[in-house]
Amino acid sequence: MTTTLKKLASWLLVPLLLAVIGTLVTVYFVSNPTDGIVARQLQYPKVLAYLVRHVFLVILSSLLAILTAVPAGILLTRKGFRFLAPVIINIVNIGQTIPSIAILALFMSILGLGVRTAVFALWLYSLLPILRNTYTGIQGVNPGIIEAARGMGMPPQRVLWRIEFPLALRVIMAGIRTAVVINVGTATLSTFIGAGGLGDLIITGLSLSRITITLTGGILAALLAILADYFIGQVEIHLLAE
Amino acid sequence: MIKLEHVTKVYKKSEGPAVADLNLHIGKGEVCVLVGPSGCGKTTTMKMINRLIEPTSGTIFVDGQNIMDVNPIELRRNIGYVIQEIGLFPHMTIAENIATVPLEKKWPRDKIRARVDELLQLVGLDPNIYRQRKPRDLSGGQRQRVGVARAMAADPPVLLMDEPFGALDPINRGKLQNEFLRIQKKIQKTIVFVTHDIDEAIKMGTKIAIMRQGKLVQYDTPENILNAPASNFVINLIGGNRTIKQLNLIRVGEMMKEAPPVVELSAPTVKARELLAARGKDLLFAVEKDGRLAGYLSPQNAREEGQVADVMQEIPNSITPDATLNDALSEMLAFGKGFVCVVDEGGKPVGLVTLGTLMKAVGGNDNNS
Repeated sequence: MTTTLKKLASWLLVPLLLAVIGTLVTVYFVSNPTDGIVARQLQYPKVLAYLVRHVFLVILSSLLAILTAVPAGILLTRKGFRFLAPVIINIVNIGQTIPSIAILALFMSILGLGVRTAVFALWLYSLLPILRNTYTGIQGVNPGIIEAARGMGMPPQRVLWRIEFPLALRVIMAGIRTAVVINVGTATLSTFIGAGGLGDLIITGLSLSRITITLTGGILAALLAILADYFIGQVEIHLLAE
Repeated sequence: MIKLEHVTKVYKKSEGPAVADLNLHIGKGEVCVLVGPSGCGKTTTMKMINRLIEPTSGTIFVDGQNIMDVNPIELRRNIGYVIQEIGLFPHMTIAENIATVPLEKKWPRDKIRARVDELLQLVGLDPNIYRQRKPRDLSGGQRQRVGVARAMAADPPVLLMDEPFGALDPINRGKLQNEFLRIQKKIQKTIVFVTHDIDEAIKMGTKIAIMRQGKLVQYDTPENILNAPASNFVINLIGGNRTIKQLNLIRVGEMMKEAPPVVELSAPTVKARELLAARGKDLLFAVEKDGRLAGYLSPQNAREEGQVADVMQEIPNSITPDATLNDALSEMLAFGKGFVCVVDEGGKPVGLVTLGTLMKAVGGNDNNS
């Protein structure tokens, strides 16, 4: 019992620390406004709403990306689809070279303003790291191990789920981690298409020349990225320990 | 048990067949070793038996059944498969690795658990220590043992083994070969064994199939192949020293002499002298209280006064009765003496092999070669 408590405490240490830093920064900036403009812009409910929106954008788009890119990556390693892999990976690669702000602008002109467009663009942008890592992770499994499994009479589905997927999990998780962390940063740009998030604070501060507003948004976004990285890292350790 | 009839395999991109019109009959309980240089088609032949590779033409029967009429998944679950050590699943424990086929066959949990322990014991690994370990925690030899145990998990009548001991150092390889032969004596499986090492083939095989460029060059017992090689190719493959290779065919247990009398470590040397004189021998074994071999005494050693423990000479190495005479010869050369002690699994002396034993063994076969 005490060991589980200890484990939980050590696990919570980093998130708590990040939360404390975030809260302190926010409280400091909100309670010490430099002038009336800052006081009007920086209010607790507003900051909280931006934060929640930001997290919402990241989680939704990342989940969608995982749910599409992992199966797609697996599919590309299957016999009938292997020939497609270079083509698909290249297309997604090219997509990744387009600046994120350009993708937002592009899809704004098609899908209009708002959350939907932001989630779509973020999803598209997270696809590559996950897809590529899923593909290379599974391709990288020692063929001797797969042959041993087949030779002992494991059906192809079971070979995938009992052997290939668990052995590729480390690489797949690394892709997801990269994607989500990038996503936290890219989500600040959603402000340009009216989807909200911490980017709103950053841009407002910049356009009003009030550095504390920008700092509040920027610091919270940075802390969020660190938190996401830590969290997925922990999931990874947990999954791979088994 | 296994019958290959006019089996041919042609790969699309290569010229010429990988296996050409191969006929092979393997009897129940036999160890058939496929041997030949790389690219001779031996591995392809083996993989066609469990349909990892499908033949272009010809038919293969396992236990009287045409394997093309059997679902490949079902077929493979009833044929054990051992490959070099890379074949263990690194993310699973040793127990999970061994349980692979029983799990696929949906055995009940406790039956699987009991079977895993039984097999670990059979291959000489303590279940309590190794059950929950991962393959990376094991040495190469231990991993190979697990590989063999895994293949035998569901007690298949047929085993396919693809260079199973290829990744091991010579000493461990020899040990595992002997152990495997001991196990095979008990379980009597029909085994198809692939190797490029002719010495291993001679040692392991009840029959050897020598292959070259997809064709069967000679298929016979090791004795007949050594005594009457079918072609220059076979002679070259066997290499020089055919007489010495015959030592690989004979087990120490079949040829060893009776063990010399033993004397306890704590006994006075007077007793050793009496024993030597009474039995007319020139060698004595010194043993611990529990009967384990500790050293040996020559008449010169026994001449000194004192306890046996003080005057005896240590024995750095000994062999078991299931080792080959070739192993015995290597031990003698390494030991620098004209004899080697034979002990049972508990370390108790059971016999003696001398240079004379070896001479007699090769002399007996000399007239046909």
